Amino acid sequence: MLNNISTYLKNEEYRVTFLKYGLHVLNYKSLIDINTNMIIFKIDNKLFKVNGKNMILKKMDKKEFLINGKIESVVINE
Amino acid sequence: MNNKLVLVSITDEEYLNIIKVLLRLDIYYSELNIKDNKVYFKVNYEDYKNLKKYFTNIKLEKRLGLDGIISFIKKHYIILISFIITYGILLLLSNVIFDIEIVTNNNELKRIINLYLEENGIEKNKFMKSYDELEIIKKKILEENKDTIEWLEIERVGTKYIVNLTERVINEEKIETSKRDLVAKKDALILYLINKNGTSIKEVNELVKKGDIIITGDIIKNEEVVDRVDAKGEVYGEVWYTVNTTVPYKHIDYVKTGEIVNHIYLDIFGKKFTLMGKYDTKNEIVTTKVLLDKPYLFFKVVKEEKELYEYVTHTVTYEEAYEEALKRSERVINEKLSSDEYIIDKKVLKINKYSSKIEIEIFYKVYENIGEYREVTPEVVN
Repeated sequence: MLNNISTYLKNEEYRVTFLKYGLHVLNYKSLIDINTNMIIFKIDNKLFKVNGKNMILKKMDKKEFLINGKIESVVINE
Repeated sequence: MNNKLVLVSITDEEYLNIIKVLLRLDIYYSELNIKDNKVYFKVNYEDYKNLKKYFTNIKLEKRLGLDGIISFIKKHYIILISFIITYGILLLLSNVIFDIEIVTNNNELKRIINLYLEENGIEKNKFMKSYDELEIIKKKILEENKDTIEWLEIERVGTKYIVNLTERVINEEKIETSKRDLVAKKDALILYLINKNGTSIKEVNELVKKGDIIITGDIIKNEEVVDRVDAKGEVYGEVWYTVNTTVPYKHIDYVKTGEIVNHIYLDIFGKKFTLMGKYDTKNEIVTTKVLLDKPYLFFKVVKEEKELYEYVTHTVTYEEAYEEALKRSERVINEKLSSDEYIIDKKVLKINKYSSKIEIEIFYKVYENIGEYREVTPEVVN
């Protein structure tokens, strides 16, 4: 809740947060592709590619989503 | 639109296929879990209805939030209503008077108490009274029966009232009909004698033994008993006492610290559950007060006021112990005396001095009332 309040007040463009159990993405534009080893999504004009193992999309909302699983790398292509 | 959240599950379907459908339909979800070939997640109820068109094996596991509670109640309303009714009946019955017992052998008193109880609503098959109401009824019965009842207590035991009472016994005034003499109640030397009725046998400065007649009720004329009356008079004499007192050089006093601890607890069927202020010590004086006691509650709220004491050790010198011994001995004698009696003289007979204490023996001469009346048993003439 505090995070949501902070996000609302700060009005960040986007945020990608590494968590102990996965990855949290805020203010994404669209989800391009998804499978258990790779997730591709777009933020502004950047393309993010998340590589890992046993990844599942735990939560998905209009502005954010949460990935659970083993995250190995995140590659950003402009 | 129904925005209530529900927990759904989809069986035998690939996780990725499900996600792709959700993405395509722009359905937002949370708490996705995969377990035993089932995918669980939370969505809006409307979205769930939409998903039913795409997945045949989709199941509504549970409604969440307030909706979930209402759904639970609707599903189990019969059991819930039964439970509420049963509890209500139990509560009701446990507050009904099923029996009243008055503990006394006096049937008349029993009948009177019964009338009072009925008058105040305490009878079989009626509701129990609260603690305060019982106190009022008890006070009323005691006030209106001061001559017959000494003490009364109404105790609730389960669904029964037990009335314990003590009858008041009034001693009738004894009218003296037989004759009496004035005799010595102790060995003494007579110092003061007033004869108001009867014949004096003894005089001032005479020694008497316990039981000796001082003033007789016989009226003697020409060495013959011509009449019998109640002897009456006053006699004071010198009585002798020996007092032995021991005073240790060290002693311990209890002194109030001034601290009071309030311990408030719940009494549930005799067991204590502290709410606040638990304090364990042996050096305390406790006053207990019941704060809350209602017949429809299974507990009482009780307050214990603990006044704390502490030990203080005092050490005295030989001289102080000696003075203390004299004071104590004198106190022992004075406690027996009334306002018109006093100590004539005293003498210390013996002092035993030990390492931890002192023992003294004191002899007292006391001016004291030594007369008492004794009934005269009539002689049997053969």
